[in-house]
Amino acid sequence: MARKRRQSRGSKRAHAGESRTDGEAPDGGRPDAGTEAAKPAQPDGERLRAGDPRPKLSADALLALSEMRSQGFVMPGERVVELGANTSDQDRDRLIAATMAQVEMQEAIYRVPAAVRRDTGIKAGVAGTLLFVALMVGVWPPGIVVPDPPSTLTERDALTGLRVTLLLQAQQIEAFRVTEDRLPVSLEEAGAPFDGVRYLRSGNRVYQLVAYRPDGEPVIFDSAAPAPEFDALVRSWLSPWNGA
Amino acid sequence: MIRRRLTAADSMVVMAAFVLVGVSVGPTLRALAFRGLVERAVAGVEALHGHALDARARGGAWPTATRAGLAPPELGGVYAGDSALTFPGYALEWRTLSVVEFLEAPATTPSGLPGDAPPASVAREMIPSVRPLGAIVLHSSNTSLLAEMLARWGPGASFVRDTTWTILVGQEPGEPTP
Repeated sequence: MARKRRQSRGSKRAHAGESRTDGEAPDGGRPDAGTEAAKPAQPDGERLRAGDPRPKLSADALLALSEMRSQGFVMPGERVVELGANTSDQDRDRLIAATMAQVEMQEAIYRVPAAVRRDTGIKAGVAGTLLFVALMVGVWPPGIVVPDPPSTLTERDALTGLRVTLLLQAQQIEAFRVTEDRLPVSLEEAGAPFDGVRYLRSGNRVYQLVAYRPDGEPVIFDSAAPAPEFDALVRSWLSPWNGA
Repeated sequence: MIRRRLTAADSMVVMAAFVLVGVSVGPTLRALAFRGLVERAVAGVEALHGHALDARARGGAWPTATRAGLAPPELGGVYAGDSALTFPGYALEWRTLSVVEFLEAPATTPSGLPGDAPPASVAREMIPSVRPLGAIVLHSSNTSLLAEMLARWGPGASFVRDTTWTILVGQEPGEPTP
């Protein structure tokens, strides 16, 4: 009888120890419902008897789960407790108690979502707006994030380059004529030919150089009567050497 | 074990962050990379110009013209290797050109009586002379780089044709030099 009374007191102590998860932890701190409730009863606990109050975890589970959900944590889907080969009734009782606490927590998960869904909706709205703004900024970036564009070639630059090319090629021919007293048979004979320039010789005095613009329009340098545009280039490009 | 699940909202926030970072940082990085390319090209042109002048001062003639990317033999001590003038994004070429200049003929002894001055209306005779020039050609498919080189030296001293930018190299003061 004395032993049975001790067991009864021990059982109540075990119950009190488990029921602390409903309120304050033994050390006065907040219990971790997700882990404490799933643990077997304390080693000093004894077999639960019929009529003993079940562990009350609802309020604490809700509080813990609310905090966990607000932090973005999710309860694990399942929990396995290994009892080992030597399973006693006491161990099974502890497992049942832990399972009941776990079930209450799982139920609590379904009581919380209303607020969670509301928070998730707000978060999704803010995220969607942010993504929309980001895409708009990506498509039409503001000037503050766009650096100065690099220089670009104009059609005038291209035409001037073409004319200078013809002028310099003509200078190669004139230099050949000065030294050889005749026109070269080909541009290669004059040396340093420019790509894309055609050479048309008329006798031994007059020649034409032809190059083509990107649109296919020809630009012609006639040694007998150069176009006025070449005169300006001669003054700006060849004046250091011809004293013009 | 507690796990954190990535929600659709989290994904959107991450995507927005990537887009914003890409929009704000990407163009700046590209601009910086392009500026670096331009500065390297300018430095390469100036270096080749300096070495060509040194070679001319030593040998009395411009270095031999070569194909794009190849260094003239006279500059082999400076530019080693077969592709010494090939760089990421561009290649340099050294070529030689000739221009005709007209020089005044040396004054001849007047055929008149001693003490007679030549008539002022008689123009001095000009004789043509060939003057060799050097040219540095930058080859690049990057038209922005060509445009930057043209803007840096000006359209009066250099020109762009197709995928090349060319500048003439003289030696006398007042001549266009890089």
